[in-house]
Amino acid sequence: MQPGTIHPLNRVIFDIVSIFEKYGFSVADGPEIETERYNFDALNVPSDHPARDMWDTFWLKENNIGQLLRTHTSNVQIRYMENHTPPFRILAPGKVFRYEATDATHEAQFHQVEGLVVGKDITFAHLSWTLDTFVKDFFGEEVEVKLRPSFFPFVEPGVEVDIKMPGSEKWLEVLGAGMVHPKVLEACGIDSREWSGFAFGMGVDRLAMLKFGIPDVRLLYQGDLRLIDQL
Amino acid sequence: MNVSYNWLQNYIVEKLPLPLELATALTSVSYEVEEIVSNENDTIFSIDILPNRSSDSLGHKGVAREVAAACNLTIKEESQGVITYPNVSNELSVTINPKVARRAIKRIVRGVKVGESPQWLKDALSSIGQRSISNVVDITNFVMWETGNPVHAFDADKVNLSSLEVRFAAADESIIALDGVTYELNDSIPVIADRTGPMDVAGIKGGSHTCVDETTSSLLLSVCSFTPALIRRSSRSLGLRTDASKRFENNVPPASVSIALERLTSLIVDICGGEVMETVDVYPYEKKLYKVGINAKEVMRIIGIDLDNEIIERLLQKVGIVGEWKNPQQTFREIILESVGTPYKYGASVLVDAPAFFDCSSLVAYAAKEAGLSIPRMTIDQCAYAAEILKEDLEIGDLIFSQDSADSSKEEFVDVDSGKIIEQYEVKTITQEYMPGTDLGYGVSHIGVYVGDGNIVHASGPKTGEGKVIIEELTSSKKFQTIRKYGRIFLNADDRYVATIPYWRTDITGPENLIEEIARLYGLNNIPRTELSDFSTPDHVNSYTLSSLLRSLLINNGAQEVLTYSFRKTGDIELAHSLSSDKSFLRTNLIEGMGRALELNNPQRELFLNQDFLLFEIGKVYTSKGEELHLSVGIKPRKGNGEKQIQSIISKILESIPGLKEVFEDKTIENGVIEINLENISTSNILPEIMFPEVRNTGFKQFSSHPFIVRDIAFWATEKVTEQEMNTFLKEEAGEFAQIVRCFDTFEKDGKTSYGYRIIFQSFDRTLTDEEINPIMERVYKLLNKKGFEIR
Repeated sequence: MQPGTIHPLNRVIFDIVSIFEKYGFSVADGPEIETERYNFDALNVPSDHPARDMWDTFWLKENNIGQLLRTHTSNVQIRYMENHTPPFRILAPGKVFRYEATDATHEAQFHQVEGLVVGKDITFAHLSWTLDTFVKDFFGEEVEVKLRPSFFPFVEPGVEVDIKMPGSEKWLEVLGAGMVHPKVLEACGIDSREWSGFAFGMGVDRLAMLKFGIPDVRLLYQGDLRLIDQL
Repeated sequence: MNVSYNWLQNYIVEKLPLPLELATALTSVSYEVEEIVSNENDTIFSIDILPNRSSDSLGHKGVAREVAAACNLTIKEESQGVITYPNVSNELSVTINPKVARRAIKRIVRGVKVGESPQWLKDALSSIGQRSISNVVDITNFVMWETGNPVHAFDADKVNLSSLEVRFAAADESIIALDGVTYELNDSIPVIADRTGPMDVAGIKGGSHTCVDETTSSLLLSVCSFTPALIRRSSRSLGLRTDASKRFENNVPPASVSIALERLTSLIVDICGGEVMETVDVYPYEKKLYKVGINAKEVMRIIGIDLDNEIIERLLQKVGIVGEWKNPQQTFREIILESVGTPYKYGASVLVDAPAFFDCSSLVAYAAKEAGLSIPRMTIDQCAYAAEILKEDLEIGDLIFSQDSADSSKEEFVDVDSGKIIEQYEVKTITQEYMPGTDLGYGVSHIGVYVGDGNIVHASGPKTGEGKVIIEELTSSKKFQTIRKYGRIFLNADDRYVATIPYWRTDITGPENLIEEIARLYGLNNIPRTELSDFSTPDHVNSYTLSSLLRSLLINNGAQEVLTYSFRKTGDIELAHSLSSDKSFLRTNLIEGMGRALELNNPQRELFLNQDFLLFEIGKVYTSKGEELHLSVGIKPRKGNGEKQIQSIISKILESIPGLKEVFEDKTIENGVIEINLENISTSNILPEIMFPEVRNTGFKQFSSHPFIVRDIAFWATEKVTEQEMNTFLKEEAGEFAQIVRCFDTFEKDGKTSYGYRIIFQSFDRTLTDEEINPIMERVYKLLNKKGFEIR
């Protein structure tokens, strides 16, 4: 029998997990319908703060499940930290939502993989090694990798990882990362003077589009075999 | 933000590097330059100023500071904002509600001439896409784009100068703004008003009836620092986001107000003439500059490199952060001893009141801050933060926590005259700021510092004690009868670099922020990489192992995976705001999406190898009971209802995951689709080695959405030809419209081989007709004949 095909997004997630498994990362999960606390407050994103503009949020009408659709899988990091004692290394793949008009590069639903490492002597040097190793494993050894300063309220320092494919002139943004903000550790009951860690996040849709040359993000959610059957 | 190369040059002593070089440096050290556009006179950078830098970098001067740091250049000295104009009139009166504004300065300038702006000003504004209106308006715009502090000029003759107020609007007030739109205000919207009513939606937009026009000869200059969160809420509720509101919501610091005002005044006087008559500066709670301390070990602990003290110092100086190395314990002790006699003030602020007033915990927080250690502000949090020591190990500078109000958990003393709380005791057991929510298991309400020889220094309240910072014997102190903890905050004697944070860097409030400055200024790419050492075997969450296993089973049995949208027209959970009316709920099932996918692919089935395509989706559904992970499997075969194929795949699944038997038995196949709930299904946490088929093509090939034409062709070949050769031959001869050439049948008989081929024709830009395809097929037949194949 001719085998079927895995959806390109789940292929990318599977590939990412397979790479990080080599370094002892475990997959964790959490809900897509979330409370403000797990999506924002515990992540050092106060209400009425301009940093909230980084995420256009789908709020929900009154119900007994939750207040919003998670805008990132960082909620999984918080939930995991609350219930586990370091050290740990986790990955949080999953669907996330943003309240924004859709076009070829924006979708109201998309997928992310986030990662979190917390331990006794985890430093930026580990973060840099881990992301460099991952990117080269995923895109190929010959890819150039560069970090630049960025901002996410839950990390400090915060960085963006840009890559350049061989033969290309253009730097592409593929990952956001940083050292976990002490307030985030403390909000989860982890003493920031004893433990440190790094976190990172990437858009699976964007990685799949880059890797397979898919021109329009919306193609990924139609159930259209003209895409799926090819890959 | 649009940033002009020429503007930047005005604030830098040396000549700027070329635009591309500048942009590269800025991107690697500060923030991303997304676009560079050059014309004959100037170069404009489009810079993505992130939220943490929007307080200092939404003006050219702030960006120039970063350019100086990134390119090793010198920033020109800036005005100190000292008010030097004497008051020659006495007509201004200004009051402010401190919840609305932290500082407000109003200044009257009389005798100005409103007219056209000088060419340099017009050019400067037009370079960043701003229109010239009049000299006065252009100057206010220029000052905002330079300093990042929005400023406003009213026509002084249109307002009542002796009754100015920065306050909340009344519920029934409204204003016609400069854009001509009437805004209904309410008591949560801030305004600048005179006795006749609002003149301006504070921090957001000016009012039209007080605006400067060509007849204006007197100006009321208004420069403020508004409460950021308030401006943000108000501009959202009014649906009015302006260049000003964007800056104020990002925290324009109070210290910037006088600097912006002096810049504004000097430009007005230079360009429009006039004389400064009077200035009023209302600044009720002037905050001192932040101090944040750090040492090399702490930097090393986060960024992983051991930097010399001199390097730390030099890097921070690049962004205007200057400090001194201090012995922390000694500094702390000295400040504590010096504080004896200082009056007590309940809730004294570390940045505003200290060192003139203290309460018990602000004394400790202040002394620690001066010694370069950022500790929590409240007693309960300081208690959780301090490392516990034994009584016999007490050293000078250690902390002692007590519960000094035994019976009641909260006691307030209110001043009869002012109605203000002058002293309050609250026995807390749960932390609020540091590791919030931690229950210490005992009550804490007071803190003091051990100063040796059995003595303690603490700030003692006016009602229950001396009303000032006192030194007394620990054993006889009535506030330390019930001691809860002996604690230590300075765990080593390493010198700390106690840095004073410049007023414009409101984002730097803790050591983690200083470490970030050091990391980026050192160069993120210069920090060597360290391998993440060994760790235990992964232990995945059940939902991941189960989905991966199912995915692998289904795919290896010919199924193809789809993902569909979570939004629906109806459901249980409704969005507060949806993108469209058919997407206003969350899906309660996967069946619907599966049905649509089957319908969508149905007309195209000829394009696929497996024409009885079998689809599946694994994803969340959301009902009033909660969120569940589901699996749906669907089929729409050419013949029959597909039930047999689904049953066969279910039995394959059950061979590997017997735990799914019950959930499958509970469900029936409807219209070729079955859906099951995967919650509470446990499999092994160890994922068996699974492999997915290799990617079929290296890249995605765009498909056409125009209809296609299918032609089959069958022929006998006497000599064996490979399928590969045949494919290439047919593909070439069938021409550009032949999207798919596929062999669907071969058999041998009497030493001959029969081939069945299907050719699918499709154009990317139009619908093909039989008339176009027939001649192509005729040609193919002829060519096959010529090659000696016998068409069947």
